Amino acid sequence: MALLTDHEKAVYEWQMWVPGFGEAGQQALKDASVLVSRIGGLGSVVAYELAAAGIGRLVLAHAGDIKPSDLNRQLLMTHDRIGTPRVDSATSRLKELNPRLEILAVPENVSDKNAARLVGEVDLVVDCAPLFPERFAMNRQCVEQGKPLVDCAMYDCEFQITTILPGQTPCLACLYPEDPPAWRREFPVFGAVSGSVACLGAMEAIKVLSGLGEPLCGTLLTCDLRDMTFQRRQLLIRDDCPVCGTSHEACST
Amino acid sequence: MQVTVEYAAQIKRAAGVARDVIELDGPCQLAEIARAVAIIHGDSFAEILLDENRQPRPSILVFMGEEQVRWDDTNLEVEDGQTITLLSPVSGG
Repeated sequence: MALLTDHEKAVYEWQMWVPGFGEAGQQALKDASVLVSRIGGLGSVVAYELAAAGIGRLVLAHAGDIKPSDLNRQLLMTHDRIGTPRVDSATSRLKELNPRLEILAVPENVSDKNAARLVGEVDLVVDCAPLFPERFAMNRQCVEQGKPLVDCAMYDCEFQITTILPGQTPCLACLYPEDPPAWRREFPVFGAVSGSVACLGAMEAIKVLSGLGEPLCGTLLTCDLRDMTFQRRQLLIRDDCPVCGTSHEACST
Repeated sequence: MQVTVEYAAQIKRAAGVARDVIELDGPCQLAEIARAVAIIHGDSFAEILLDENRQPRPSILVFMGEEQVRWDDTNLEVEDGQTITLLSPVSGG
């Protein structure tokens, strides 16, 4: 573990003033590694906020090249890089912000084939993926490896977010026992909506990693930005869940 | 009796409204509420909410007030004045 340098203490001074965070919280972020899958509208902003906050290492998983239709929300992508790999643009932008950040750029989407390896690389996962099979693959591995999973989702002007702590909260398969048949990869959304829930997702990751505050543990926060309605809803553990099983303890984080 | 049914995400778009207030003869199970609103809003809405056997799809989250409940909890009865929320699943991107 490398201790915070004087330069890092200067960069993160304002957030180290936050009660309950301090130098110990900053050190915890520096020592932490986070998987962000994918780095689209949600994941771009999650990664950017975590890079700004001084996370030590990011694993960025996203296949494919930048398309014009990415640019309304994928804030790590730029017009002059259309047609080039998303992970390359993201790495470049994040390094401009935080040159100390270690990045493992993986030009693949998470799947059953790579989920064990990618989740095994990190301390926490932020799920920003559009398709349920890749979300289920991450969820299974997070449960198996006991890693926290911050789950962010959006549609139109709405978003939903919850934090999954294996063994303590419902997992993604408790919520969705099947691949929802009506869901499609492409859907209506504003960048300001993905950015809003992404900032909350980054904050959940910071809280879980540093011990600050109370994560959305077993709670689904829903928001409709059309009328600024925010609601906290309590989620059920599914006792017969085939992924997380029957043994749960009360949330203690 | 009257029950308020609220919608979120895809199912709200399919309904074209954020909520309905429906009239029912008396306390009933959640699946009956689902079938009642499916009749109001037609096929595209019903396809999201119900399977081919007219049973609620388990991937649609259902809440009584702020608490999640399970569609298959046969001990639950919806009573006069309650608010039910249906959340269709969404993702990142």
